[in-house]
Amino acid sequence: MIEEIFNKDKTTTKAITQTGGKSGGVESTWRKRSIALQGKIDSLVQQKNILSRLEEFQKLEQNWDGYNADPLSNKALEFANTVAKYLISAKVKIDFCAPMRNGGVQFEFNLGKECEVEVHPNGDIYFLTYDEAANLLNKERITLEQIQKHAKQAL
Amino acid sequence: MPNKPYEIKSTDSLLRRIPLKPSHIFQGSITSACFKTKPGEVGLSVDIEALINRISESYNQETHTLSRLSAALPMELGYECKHDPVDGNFAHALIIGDTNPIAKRLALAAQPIDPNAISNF
Repeated sequence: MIEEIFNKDKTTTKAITQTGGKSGGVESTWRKRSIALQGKIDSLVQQKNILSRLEEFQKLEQNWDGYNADPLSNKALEFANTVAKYLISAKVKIDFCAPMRNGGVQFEFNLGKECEVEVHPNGDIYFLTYDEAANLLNKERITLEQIQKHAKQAL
Repeated sequence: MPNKPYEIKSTDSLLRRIPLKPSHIFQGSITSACFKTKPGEVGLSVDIEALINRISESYNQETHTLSRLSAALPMELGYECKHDPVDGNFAHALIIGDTNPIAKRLALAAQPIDPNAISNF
């Protein structure tokens, strides 16, 4: 499932690049560079926002949600940091990042389907996909290496 | 306030507190993370709106906002909603079971309640 999702995003990226290259010439080159630069700026801003949010999560204490939620584990925060970097490097726009009640971290984004990556307190990572009505379609355990691999392929 | 167990109907509204620090609402939508049970929990804690005297007193407005959810949804998805009064909160109830598979459905259906509207209750 994760392969399908990331490959779909890769196809979209390629299509946009090809469309941008049709006009040719100096103007097109500048336009491409401008888009690339804007993309890098957006990625850096997104990364900064996510990292500052993860720092905020570090301060959460037991019962932070009023329903006895656990504080976030160092492992979850460390892995979440890495997951965020891999996703952002693959040009995935992370819509939201939330602490999980079990002491993990959750990322939410859309790659043609609503997706979530859950980083659990013990370091286990799950990739979830949903249909338009928010029904869970698939939940599979993945590794950091798999995310990195698919992120690289999506570029 | 009657002290006998309340039978939750599909027409009942269930309330769940949503933390504000950090924010759990993105572009008007609540994250599914708020509706996921932890391992070992019997179910997801909510309050039955019909059993609450003053909504504004049921949570700390500085740290939380409130969301409203129809009991019909978890029931339709096969989950039992059970009145589970606890010390200091007779309105407490549980959506019984592991709510992880339906958390995004619950989050999508739950409506954040406008704090300004709450102060008028």
